[in-house]
Amino acid sequence: MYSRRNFPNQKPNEHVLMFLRRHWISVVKIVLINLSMAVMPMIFYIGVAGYTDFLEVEAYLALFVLLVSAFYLFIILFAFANFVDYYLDVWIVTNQRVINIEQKGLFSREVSEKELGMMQDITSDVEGFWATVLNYGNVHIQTAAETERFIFKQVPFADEVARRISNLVSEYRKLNKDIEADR
Amino acid sequence: MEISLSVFLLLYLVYIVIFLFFSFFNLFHMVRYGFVSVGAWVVTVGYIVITLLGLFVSYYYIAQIDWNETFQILGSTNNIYN
Repeated sequence: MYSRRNFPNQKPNEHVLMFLRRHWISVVKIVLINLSMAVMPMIFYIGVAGYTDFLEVEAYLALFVLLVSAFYLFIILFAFANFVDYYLDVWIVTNQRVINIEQKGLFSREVSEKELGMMQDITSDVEGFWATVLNYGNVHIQTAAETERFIFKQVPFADEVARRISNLVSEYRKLNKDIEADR
Repeated sequence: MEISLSVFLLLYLVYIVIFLFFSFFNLFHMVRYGFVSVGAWVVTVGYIVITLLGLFVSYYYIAQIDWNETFQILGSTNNIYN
C-alpha cells in the first residue's frame, strides 16, 4: 500500500497539498444498492416457503441453497469491487503537479500527471439535488492537450478545490518566473 | 429427464473458483495500489471475514443435502402445490 504523504515517483521537495477522492455518498450508494439486493432472497424465501411446499422437495431445496449462496457471494464481491473502484480513484495535487489515478475496472488503471504550470483552464460544476445539498461536484482541468485529461469526479467542495488549484497554478508560475529572472 | 444434483454442485464449485479468482485480484489491487488508512484495512479485513463466513455457512447447508439424488426436470412440478 502507498502512503498519502509518500506516493510513488514522488519528486524531491514535492509534498502533497490536496488528496482527493469521490464524496462519501458514493460509498453510501454502494451500501444501499447491495443491501437492497441482499433482501431479495429473503423476500423470495418468505413468499415461497409461506405459500408453497416448493422447498419440501429436496432437489428444489438443494438448488435454492446453491443459488442463494451464489447470489450472496456475488453481492459481497460486487460491493467490495465497487469499493475498491471508489478507493483507488484518487486525485493528488502537490506543490509541483496534479496526479490523476483512476482504476477503470479490475484490469485497467490509468495514471496521468501534469505540472501545475501546464494548467490552462480550471472549472468546477455542481449538478443535481444531492450534489447541491451535500456540496460535491466535478472539477475540470484543461491543459494544452486537445483532450481534457483531468476530471476530478464528485469531489467534495468542488468550487473550493478549483479555486485552490487556480491559486496554486498562479503561485507556481510566479515562482518559476522569479527563478528564471534570477538566472 | 433426470439429472444428478451433483452436476449443480459441480457448477457451483466452478462458480466458487471464479469468485475466488476475482476476490484475489480485488484484494491484490487494494493491497498493491491502495493508500494506507484505517478504513481501507477495516473494509479489506471485513471483506475477508464476511467471505469466509459466507463460505462456511454455505458449506454448512450444502453438507446437509444428499447430492446423489436426482433432479427431474419435468414431472415433479405437480407436487409443489398441495
